[in-house]
Amino acid sequence: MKKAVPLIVAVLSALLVMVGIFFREDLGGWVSVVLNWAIVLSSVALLVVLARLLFMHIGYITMGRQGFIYSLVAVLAFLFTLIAGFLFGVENPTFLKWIAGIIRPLETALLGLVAIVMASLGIKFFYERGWNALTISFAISAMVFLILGLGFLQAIDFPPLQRVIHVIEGLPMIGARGLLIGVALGAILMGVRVLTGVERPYDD
Amino acid sequence: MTDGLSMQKCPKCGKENLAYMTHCVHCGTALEAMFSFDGQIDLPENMPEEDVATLPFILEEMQSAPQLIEDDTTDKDEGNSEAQETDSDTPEWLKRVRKRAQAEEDATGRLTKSLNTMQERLEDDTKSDAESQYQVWLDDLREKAELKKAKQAERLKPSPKDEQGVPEWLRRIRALHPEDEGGEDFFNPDDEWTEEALEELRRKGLGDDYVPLKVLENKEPDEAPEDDEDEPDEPDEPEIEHNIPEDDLDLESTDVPRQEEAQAKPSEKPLSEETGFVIVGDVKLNPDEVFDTQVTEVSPNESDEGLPAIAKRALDADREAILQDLVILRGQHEKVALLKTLLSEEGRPLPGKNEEKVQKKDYSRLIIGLALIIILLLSIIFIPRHSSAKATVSVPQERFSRHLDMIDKDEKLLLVMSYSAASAPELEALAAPVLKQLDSQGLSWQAITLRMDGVWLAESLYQQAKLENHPAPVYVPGGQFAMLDMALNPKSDAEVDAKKAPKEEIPNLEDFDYVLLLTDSSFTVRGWLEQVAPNYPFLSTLAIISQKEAVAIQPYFASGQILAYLTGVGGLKEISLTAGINQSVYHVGLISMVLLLILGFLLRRVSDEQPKTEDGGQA
Repeated sequence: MKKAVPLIVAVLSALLVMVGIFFREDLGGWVSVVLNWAIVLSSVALLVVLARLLFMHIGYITMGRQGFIYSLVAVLAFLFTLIAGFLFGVENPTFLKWIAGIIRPLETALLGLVAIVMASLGIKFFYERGWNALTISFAISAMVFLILGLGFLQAIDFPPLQRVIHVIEGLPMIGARGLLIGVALGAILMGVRVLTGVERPYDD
Repeated sequence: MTDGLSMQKCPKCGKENLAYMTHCVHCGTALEAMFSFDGQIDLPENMPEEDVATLPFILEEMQSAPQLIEDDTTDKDEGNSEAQETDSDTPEWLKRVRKRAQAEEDATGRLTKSLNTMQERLEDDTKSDAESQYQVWLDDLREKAELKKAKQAERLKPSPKDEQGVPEWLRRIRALHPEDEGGEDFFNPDDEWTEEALEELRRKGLGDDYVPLKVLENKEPDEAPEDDEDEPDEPDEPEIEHNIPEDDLDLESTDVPRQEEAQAKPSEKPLSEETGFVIVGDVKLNPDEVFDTQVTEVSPNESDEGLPAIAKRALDADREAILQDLVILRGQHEKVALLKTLLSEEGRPLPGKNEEKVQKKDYSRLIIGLALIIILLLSIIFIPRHSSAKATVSVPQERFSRHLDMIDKDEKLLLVMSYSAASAPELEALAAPVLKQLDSQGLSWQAITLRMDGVWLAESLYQQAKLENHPAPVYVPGGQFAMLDMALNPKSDAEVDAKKAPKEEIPNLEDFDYVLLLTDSSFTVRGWLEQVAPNYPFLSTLAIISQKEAVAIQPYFASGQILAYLTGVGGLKEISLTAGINQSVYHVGLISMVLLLILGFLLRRVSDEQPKTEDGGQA
């Protein structure tokens, strides 16, 4: 019984959504109800995670844990944003400007840091693995596409070269298509497994 | 039951009670008046305790008094004279007691008899218990003697056949049942197989071919048989591995260092192939023989010398029994070793918890990062920004421009935003010119965002596109669910009116002709194309996506599910190239990455040439 109820709910929900797609005129409203439940539940889960994060950092501060200064910054930033949002409203231009002025440079710098770290890892990759088929193919492909990204070769008016470039530029699409087909097959298989109760992600 | 005991009758019910009862057991009437000797003096209640305590001694004195022990034939005259002589010193109550003792049967003697009887019974019980325990002990000894004999048989030479060609199994059987061989040796359970007895047995069995065992053992290694070459000088059998704490092994105190040595070298322990028993020491018998473990003959401790023979035998038997119990499996041995490790490390700080981390002096990443940053900064500062003529125009970009120009002002476009702040500079540079063009064409469009931060990121986008007084995008929570809900359940005008909500906040996809996806995630594009677009075949989809995700949507472009998309520096408009993005710096970044890859490639070649250490690492 303990396992049967979640299974029944999951299977019925999946079937309802699936049938609702085919019979949109008749079951579209019911599917919308189920989807709204999912949206509400995910929003509540987000709130729970937020509360958990807040209490965890407050705990770190009260315990005087090493590095609690970061927790203090996190809690103060949270409270500042929350209070400002309540006071000014989330559509206030000044409030939006403040938030964007903080979050944009931070995230952009983080992305730039990721680029540098990836460059460093590229070197470490060779250092750790040495020369083998994998590393050599990686090096060749990376350098080819970096050079193509410069755009200098495309400017050369030489039709055979352009054809070669065209073929090379089409290679990523071939890989992406293979990936998409694999993802689609995996999604179908997983859907069937959930519908038949073989896969129960809700058990955990 | 009461035969022989003096009884008294209850004055109330007339039934008999024992003489010493203070109350009637039938009716409960107090019998104190009857419980008194004739002439007894009732002691006052406030009598001192010392006087009361002296009563037992008085009784004892009475029992051992010569005048009470002596025969009745004692001369009355003498007694009378003595009595008359002590009359003056003896208290009155003692006189009465003595008189009573002379007149009646000895009351104290009866009490003593009862005590003696009880003591005799107790002794009988103890005696019978001792006999039974002795019997059990004898049985125990017999059983242990059998066990020891079995081990003695096991200690026979491991050679398959002895000098007479008798196989080992037969020698063992003979050793186990010596009484069957001619009936010369009667099996005595208390006997033990000693070295001398075995020597005698061998001498009798081998006759002229008998060679003393000690002579064989003292032979030089080159004179010894081949199968004995590997054996140590001492006839020690491999001892059984065990990890019982020393406190539990007082008898084995002399063997503890050896056991600790054996535990210190677990990798050298031979292992029985069949059972997995761990055997410590040199194995003389093949592991696949009868016994999986060999037992070392435990030499008697020096402390046992002072014990009697029977106690020594019992001690030896107990020792053998302990050794039998010390056979442990390999898994048990590993568990015990783990437990010992845990116990020894209890209370110690966890490694790395409070210890200072050893700083690995590897500055290569720092140098690489700093070099890259410096190169980019220098290129940004010193390379002039100019509107260089773009080398080529990609097919998606060309189609995007064409569709953008074809959009009529009567058509409606829905802008779906879903990107993070990190991707905002790249996407805003691509999207701002597009929005400006749409606004200049007089096109009606509406924006929604699937991320909360899209609300304030849109403000920057609108500023770059110079869009004044345009409504902020509507936040649609739920991501993929929200998109599917929008597709399956479009809000009609009636529903919007019923909910009293602003119409522009609930987009109805049926009202739009174009959808422009502005995102840094290919999953958003996939979700839209797979969940929403099939329900609205008349809806044309365009996309502006970050360069790192553009590859993933190329198949959708190739299949026509996306009409066109913009991405990367190649998709930038001329105005963006002159205003915000320096394409030369982008090129410098790409060249730097190429150089770094080449550097890594070459560094590895140098490291390959370095000699490797024994453990496989680089020297």
